[in-house]
Amino acid sequence: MIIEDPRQDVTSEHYQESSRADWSLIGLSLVMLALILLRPRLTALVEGSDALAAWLTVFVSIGLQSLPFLALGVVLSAAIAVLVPADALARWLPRRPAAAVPVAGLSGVLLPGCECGAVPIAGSLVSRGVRPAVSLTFLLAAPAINPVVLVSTAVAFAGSVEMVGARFTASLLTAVVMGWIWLALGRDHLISMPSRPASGRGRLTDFVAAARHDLLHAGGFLVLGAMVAATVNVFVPRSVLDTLAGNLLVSVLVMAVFAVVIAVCSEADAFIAASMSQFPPTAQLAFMVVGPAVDVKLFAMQVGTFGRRFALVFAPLTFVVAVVSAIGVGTVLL
Amino acid sequence: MKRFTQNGLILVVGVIAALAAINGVYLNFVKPSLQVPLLVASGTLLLLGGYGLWADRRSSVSGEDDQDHEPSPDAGHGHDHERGPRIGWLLVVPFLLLGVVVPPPLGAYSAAEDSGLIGITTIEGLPPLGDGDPLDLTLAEFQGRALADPEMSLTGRRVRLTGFAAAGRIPGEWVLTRMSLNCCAADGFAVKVAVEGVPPLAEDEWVQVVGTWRPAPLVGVEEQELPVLEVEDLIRVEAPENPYE
Repeated sequence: MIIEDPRQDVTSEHYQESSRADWSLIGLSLVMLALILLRPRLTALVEGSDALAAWLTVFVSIGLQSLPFLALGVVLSAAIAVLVPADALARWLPRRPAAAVPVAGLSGVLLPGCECGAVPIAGSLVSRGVRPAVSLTFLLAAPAINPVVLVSTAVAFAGSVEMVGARFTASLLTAVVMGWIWLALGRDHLISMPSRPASGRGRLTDFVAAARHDLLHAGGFLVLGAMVAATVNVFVPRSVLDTLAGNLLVSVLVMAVFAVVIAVCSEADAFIAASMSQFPPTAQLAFMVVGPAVDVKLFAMQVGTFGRRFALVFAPLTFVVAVVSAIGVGTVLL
Repeated sequence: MKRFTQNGLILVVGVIAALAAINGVYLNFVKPSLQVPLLVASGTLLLLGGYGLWADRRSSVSGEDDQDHEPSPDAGHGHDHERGPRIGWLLVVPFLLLGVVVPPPLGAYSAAEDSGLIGITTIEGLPPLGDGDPLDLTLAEFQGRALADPEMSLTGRRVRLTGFAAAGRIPGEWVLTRMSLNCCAADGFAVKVAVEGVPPLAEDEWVQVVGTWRPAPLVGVEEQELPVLEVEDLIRVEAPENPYE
């Protein structure tokens, strides 16, 4: 695991700030000026193209929808970083990592919200000295098994206790198994955390600096993912997916891949799954188990928070574990 | 990215999100229930960005920022990105678009792919319909009553529906349509009602129609077709503030 030296960072920041003109600020001002001047032409362009208008609407809607959860996530993660002493979490969790993993998984119930908020919190846990495997279990469990998601699942599936139970079980199983696998693999060196602004100017300033950093970081990657999701959403015909719904294994895989590319919030995915009634229940379950654990938006955020080398190993592995767990639990419970 | 710019970006996002939540533009994208969370989130961003600007200004005036960190000769070692995540620029993109272009709500283009059926199965014991004549219903309520109510409570009732025109299955024919959201426009889906006795309309034109349901026997979800409204009166209207159901 690489955590870059924060002092060096601040020094370089200070050095460069005092010696260079602020091009980024000039850039931002120019972009805003250009947008305002070109506004009539841009509006005409959007009005002239239905596809572009639909893309923009879906793209902006993902940004707006995630903003409250993103804000909640970065405020909580900054609070953890500043207020919780480094050893407090380690003391609260069972000492043996193998036992801490399921505890972290079940703690996921406590964080209402979707996956956008969980990534910065997991990053914060790792830099607070919690074992990566334990933090990652929390990252996978929190967006999938919290009460808001379970209630929306119950609503979407007309109160089906089996579906809610299957989702809870399969998602928790995925999170805990991934935690154990990560412990056994011992690949913590793949994680490369971006440095946070250094501390030393009081708790409030530290808190604001940490929150601002996480907001821009996680938010930037979130928007990248939203672009991919909006593109798939608008330009891939749903009929293509519908034709693949016949065979059980194929349909499970199709729904799992669909969950990855469409990148819907975990609080809404149950409604989408329920609306795809041409798919068997196990495939719908796979959609809901894979979505909160790995999708394009999450992948981009994981690249940002834990580094690209980590995400390239972790995301595919999570996908496999989530699909297997959904098939297993779906076969038994549904 | 300099700290000043980071704070500036966060303030821009906060201001645009707050304005959208206040002036109702947010309804083009998300459900009404997100208004309060959006206001809280944009308030948080305004506080973060505002405090950041204030604290930096104060420390640059008093010079206290400098006391611990002397610039070292090897400090400019190319770790430019660590001054602030460069990817953070992207965060402002959807909000600038929202502020400048105001993308329109989902309409006939997005509805074209959907069957327009909610896929609702028979519901026993629905509460009785209200008293109005004509009775205002959402398209989803109308469709649910028409396709899933064994009591056929819609029979003989005059109802008023509001929606926009989207292409029907027969060329030249349009169906009354409303988009519905579970969460945000990314999961929007169409709810449609077939209309009889109406003039041709351009796509995305909003209308209010008054008419009566043409009774049809209940069938299984797989065989369901759009319920039909026999229209007696049609007026063109402005798009409602909340374009979704």
